[in-house]
Amino acid sequence: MTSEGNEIKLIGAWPSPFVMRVRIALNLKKLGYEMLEETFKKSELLLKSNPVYKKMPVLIHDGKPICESMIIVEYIDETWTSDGASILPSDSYDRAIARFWTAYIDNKIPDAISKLRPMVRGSVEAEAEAEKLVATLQVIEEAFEKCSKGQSFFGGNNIGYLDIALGSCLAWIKALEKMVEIKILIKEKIPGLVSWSERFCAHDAVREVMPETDKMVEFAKVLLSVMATTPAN
Amino acid sequence: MEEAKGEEVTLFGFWSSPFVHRVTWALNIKKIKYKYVEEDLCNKSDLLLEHNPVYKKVPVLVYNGKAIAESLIILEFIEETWKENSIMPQDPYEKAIARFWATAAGDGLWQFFITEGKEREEALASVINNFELLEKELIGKNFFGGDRIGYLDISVGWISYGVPIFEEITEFKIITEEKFPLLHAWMEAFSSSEFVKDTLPPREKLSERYRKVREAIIQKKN
Repeated sequence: MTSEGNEIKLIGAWPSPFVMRVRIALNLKKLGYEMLEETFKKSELLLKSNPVYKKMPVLIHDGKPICESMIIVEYIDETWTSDGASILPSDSYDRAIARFWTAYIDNKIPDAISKLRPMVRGSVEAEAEAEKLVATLQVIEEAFEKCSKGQSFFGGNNIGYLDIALGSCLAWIKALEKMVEIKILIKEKIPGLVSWSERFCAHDAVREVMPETDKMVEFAKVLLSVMATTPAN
Repeated sequence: MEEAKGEEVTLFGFWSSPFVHRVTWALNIKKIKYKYVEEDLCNKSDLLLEHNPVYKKVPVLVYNGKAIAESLIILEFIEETWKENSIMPQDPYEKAIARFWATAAGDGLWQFFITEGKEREEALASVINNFELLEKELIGKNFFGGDRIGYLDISVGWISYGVPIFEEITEFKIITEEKFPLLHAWMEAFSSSEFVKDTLPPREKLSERYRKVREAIIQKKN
């Protein structure tokens, strides 16, 4: 299902939450695309398409590369305006709020995930780090109450920009809960977000690109062993 | 100055903050009338803490009682709320490129400024790599925005007065006319623009501030 004259390629990898964000956006707009799956050794195309950061995802639309996951999501929203619902809110203040919390998420959550990933299961330091992540999510819980206004998602009735930003982190969060034996999605502490996470993962645009927890755990083990033997990139 | 009936715009800022300057320039270009509140960062006002409880930082723009924080987010809000004198490109691809460089352009510069030895060399290599790419964005244009100053010019505008100060303090010239002719010309054009020239902090005062900050950081490490 490709729009006429539109060639869409996505440089990415299935475990990456940043890549997942783009795939969800493409799904919301019902766009077909070619997935160029990266391995641990970065492809020439990736290095050429993102010379500044050399990171995925990179969207290549009719030969033009776009980098940075949430910039790509916004690009998708602005380029395909008739297909599917709008990803960003229409009101400019709501857009600012969505962008603000997205930046907050990106400041805190990827780092927290990286810190937790190599920790020893059930260790004191893992519990302390998990508590910090829960505290971060409690701040976001408040934002969820305000943004959702009683509806199912941050974006209202349908998933939007901020849902995508946070929801894409759920695969790692669930994998870490299992791998490191910690609790993060605690109903008593973040009830709104726990319910929201279930709705998010079940959404049509998300289901097929959200990896299963067991698969993520297996991948994490491979990633940790690769990181242990490779110098920092 | 544009001020629709009942519109109240307040900017909370600090004289030396490049993030605040971004917002000032956008407000100037859009000809928006606003009230400016200079914060004492060592003694932040209750209002600031109320408007930006998450980060407690400047700039914060308050529009009809609603607070927006984070300079680049404020720029987008300003663009969307006041339609005249547009600062964003129209084309979604050009928007994506502008948004990318708004954050990427400065990468490594602070690191270059506050480190020494090998760390500084690595940071400098990254800065030069980025500036080489950024230079290409100016081909055939006076500004990143084309004929007029736009979002990307505003976002990276601090380079026009910040980099010369960094260069003076570290005694190392990065943006030379030979190596980066377009960036060099842009710095001059941007800082002398009508929307910018009267907003720049006094150079000596700013230089002194950066010098002190750098000394404190380097001393702490050694």
